[in-house]
Amino acid sequence: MPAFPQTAGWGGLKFFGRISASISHELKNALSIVNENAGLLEDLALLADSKGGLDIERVKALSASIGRQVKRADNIIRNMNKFAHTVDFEIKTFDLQEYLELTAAVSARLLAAKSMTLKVIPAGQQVSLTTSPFFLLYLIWHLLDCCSQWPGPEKSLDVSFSRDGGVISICFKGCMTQEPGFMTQVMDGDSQALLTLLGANIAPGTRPHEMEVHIPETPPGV
Amino acid sequence: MKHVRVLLVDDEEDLVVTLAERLAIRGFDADWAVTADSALELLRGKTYDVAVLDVKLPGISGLELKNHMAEIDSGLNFIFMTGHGSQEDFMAGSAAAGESNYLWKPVDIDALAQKIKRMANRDN
Repeated sequence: MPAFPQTAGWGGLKFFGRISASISHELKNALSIVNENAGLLEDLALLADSKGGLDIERVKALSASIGRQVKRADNIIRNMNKFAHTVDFEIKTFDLQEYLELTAAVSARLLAAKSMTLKVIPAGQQVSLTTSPFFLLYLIWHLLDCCSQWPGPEKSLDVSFSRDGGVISICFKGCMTQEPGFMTQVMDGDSQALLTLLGANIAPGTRPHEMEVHIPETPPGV
Repeated sequence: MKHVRVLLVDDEEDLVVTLAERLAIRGFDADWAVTADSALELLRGKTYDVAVLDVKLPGISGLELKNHMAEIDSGLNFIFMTGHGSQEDFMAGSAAAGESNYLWKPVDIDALAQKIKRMANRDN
């Protein structure tokens, strides 16, 4: 695998920082809801003390809301942990769907800010890939960021994938790929370095609003 | 006694519903919205003393929403809430709302109630 250029390494660090900040925001939202629910339970208890009567259904609903937020925070932390471990190995063999779903989870806030939704379409069979999980996530996140800035009319993005021979294709559907500035932005920043590192290339899809990334099942030089 | 009217806007429904209920217990007339569009619709139908806005909403920033709301009601007061800890967000929020009208999540309900009352009393 080629050595990664230092400048792109700095970009990778910035990517790691942006994702970490986004995750911390998500956790803070969950904690804020738990805080308000706990506060309301206290308010209701004080009211019951002074005026009598407690709305049991409301208490149950608040308890359920706290449970939901704890589950949500637990999922966020699981994803954060998995994301942090993507730098453990320079190269690793992994299930692509699992990592695409991880990228979707850690990018959800980025897309929500543009009122976009993202769906990872299962391939119907396991597709494994041997490459750098961290830099693949960085590339996909960069492409999702571009798509969020060039949303299609549906404001929804489908990410699907398939294997043909030794090449894996990841298809992004739902952004304005035909707009003149789109591909310029896609190839901006660290894209070229990432594509070289992963031995990948990017091409317009066969249908409108599509873009495809082609990655070898095993990276060059391995 | 006239109730102070508050409009809370945040895309986290569980948060905004609970905050509205806690403010109602403290004597406020509190409504809530989870999107910018529904907030603007509520504002067109009712006069509020204070709007409490999340800094980041889907598809629009709280600061942009503030400008749209001020076009409908130029006398409306604003408080911003944020879950972000970044200096950049703090600067943007405090520049728009004033440092003292910018709250970090989780929000202290009594501090929020005091700010709302102070703003409403200043106008009356």
